[in-house]
Amino acid sequence: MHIIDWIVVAAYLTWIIWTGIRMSHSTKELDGYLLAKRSLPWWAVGLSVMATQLSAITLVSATGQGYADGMRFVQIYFGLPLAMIILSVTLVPFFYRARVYTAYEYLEQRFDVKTRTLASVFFLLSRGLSCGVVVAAPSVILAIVLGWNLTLTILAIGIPTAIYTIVGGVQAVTWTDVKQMFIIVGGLLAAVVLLIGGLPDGIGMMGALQVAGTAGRLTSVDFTFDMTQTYTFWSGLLGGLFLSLSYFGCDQSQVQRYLTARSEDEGRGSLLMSAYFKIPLQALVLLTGVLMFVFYLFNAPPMLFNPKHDERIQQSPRAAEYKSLEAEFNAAFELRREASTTLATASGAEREAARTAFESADDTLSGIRSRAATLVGEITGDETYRGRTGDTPAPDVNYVFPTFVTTYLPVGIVGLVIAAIFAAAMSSIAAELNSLATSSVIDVYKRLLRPNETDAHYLVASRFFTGFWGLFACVVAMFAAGLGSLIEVVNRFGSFFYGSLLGVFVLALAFRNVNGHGAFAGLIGGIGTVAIFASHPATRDVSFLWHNPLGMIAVVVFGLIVSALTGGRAKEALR
Amino acid sequence: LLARIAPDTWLYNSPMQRVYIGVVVCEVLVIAALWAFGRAFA
Repeated sequence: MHIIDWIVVAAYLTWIIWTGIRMSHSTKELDGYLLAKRSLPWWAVGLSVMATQLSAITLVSATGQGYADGMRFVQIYFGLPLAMIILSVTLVPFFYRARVYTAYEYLEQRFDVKTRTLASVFFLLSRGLSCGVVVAAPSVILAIVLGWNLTLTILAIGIPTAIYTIVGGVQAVTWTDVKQMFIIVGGLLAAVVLLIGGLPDGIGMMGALQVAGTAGRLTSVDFTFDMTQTYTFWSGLLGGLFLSLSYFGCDQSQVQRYLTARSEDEGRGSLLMSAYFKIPLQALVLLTGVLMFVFYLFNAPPMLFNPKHDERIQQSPRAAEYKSLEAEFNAAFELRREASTTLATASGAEREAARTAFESADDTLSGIRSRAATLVGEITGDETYRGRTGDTPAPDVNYVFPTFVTTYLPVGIVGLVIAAIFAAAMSSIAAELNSLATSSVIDVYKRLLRPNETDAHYLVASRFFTGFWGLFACVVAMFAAGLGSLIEVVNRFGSFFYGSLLGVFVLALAFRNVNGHGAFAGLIGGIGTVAIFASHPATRDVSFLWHNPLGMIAVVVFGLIVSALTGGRAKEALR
Repeated sequence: LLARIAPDTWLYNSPMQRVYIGVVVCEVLVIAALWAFGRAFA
């Protein structure tokens, strides 16, 4: 990386840490530190909600997904706007009127302490581990692509984030999120402009899109009903609806964002901001990936984007075989470039022949890339090289965008985009650290261990737990970085948990006769049901999006049965 | 049931009602635009 890019990244880090530390003046009380005294405007909270959800891995993976598989991924967000409306009329008023710090506090008001504790412990476990993965994923990619030391990269992301979150609390999280959102969008727009500018002379934007469309990269809506497919209209609308309800309604890292808003309506407004802008923003991220695909039709891409095993392949006895594949790939790329140019400039009757020639050239290139991935898998024993995303080897997807940035973008813009990746990571991590500390202090430390301490004591405890979770995330990240399967386990664990947690809140709001025993048993039953469903040979191919409605329904069924067997409910629902 | 789970529904909160309807209308328009965009270049 050029010295100017280093300066841009360093300036970004300094600016963000300074912004966070400046917020320390308004965090002298627990209410200010954890909830900003419920004083923040809807637009700042709304941007914070969006920044928290847009992690670095979303930014890097989704652009790679756009490159490899086109715009189909956007369908996963089709349920989100409807979820925001449902939450605005249901959970948001309950949380505001209950004056809670955490979503799980409400479960004690409605059920009992064991249900609250179980829900918060599940949250702390899954979110604590996933926070480590959120630190690890971009660190691994940046370390490989930029040749940085992995441990230092993890610390460069984790430590500044922990510092400003410890010092500035939720105010720091929100106001840094606002600035980070502008950096992320700015970085993406800069990449889009340069990608469009990188098209060769004589190739217009319409012609380029024609080629992308022929390669299937612009198909965004697929009305097929197939529960094994994640990226269809129905999976996105229904499965995505329940995923969004769970994530934004029951996950403390999101609930805490809108609990900081000035009023109930401002809290709603912050959620509805995502309802309006999330799909267009995600479409922009994916379109960046599609434009990278177009760019690489006319500019030579590497045969494989992930350089992780390069050295090992060069030193293996099959190095010559790999080199010969590279020569074949380069020749096939030249043929595809010609076919792409012909298709982009063809009109009328010529177009059909040009389309057939392009499809054939693209298939040949993809075939060579697949053979190269198989070879790397055989040499290194890396099982992930068996998987495919679209026509691209699965381990390559996360490396497309960083490779493009570091290879083709001009000095200064590279620093801006790397800063955007840092911003996406830090905004998610800060919100998670803040919510983990809040739940640790309010749901566990204050409720179960030290109930009668002063406000100042809990404030110190909150700062301590923020630091503890920051350290925990960095340690998990160092382990997760070397264990690909751990990342999958953490994500799978999260998907078991989300629908079930939503089910407990549905029991709380919609069913009068459910008691604490029912809710507690329902939560365990729901998670168990999803775990069995996800691992059973007959159902394990069903997309994870459907785990959310399944978990919710299982909790409701178990909760109603156990409540009926244990004498119904004792407490009135909170108004 | 609706009154219990939605204490402040759009039925009697008119400023938010317009926002909710706007969300649904915008979502339909965005999905239609994405679908048409894909069809135009398929």
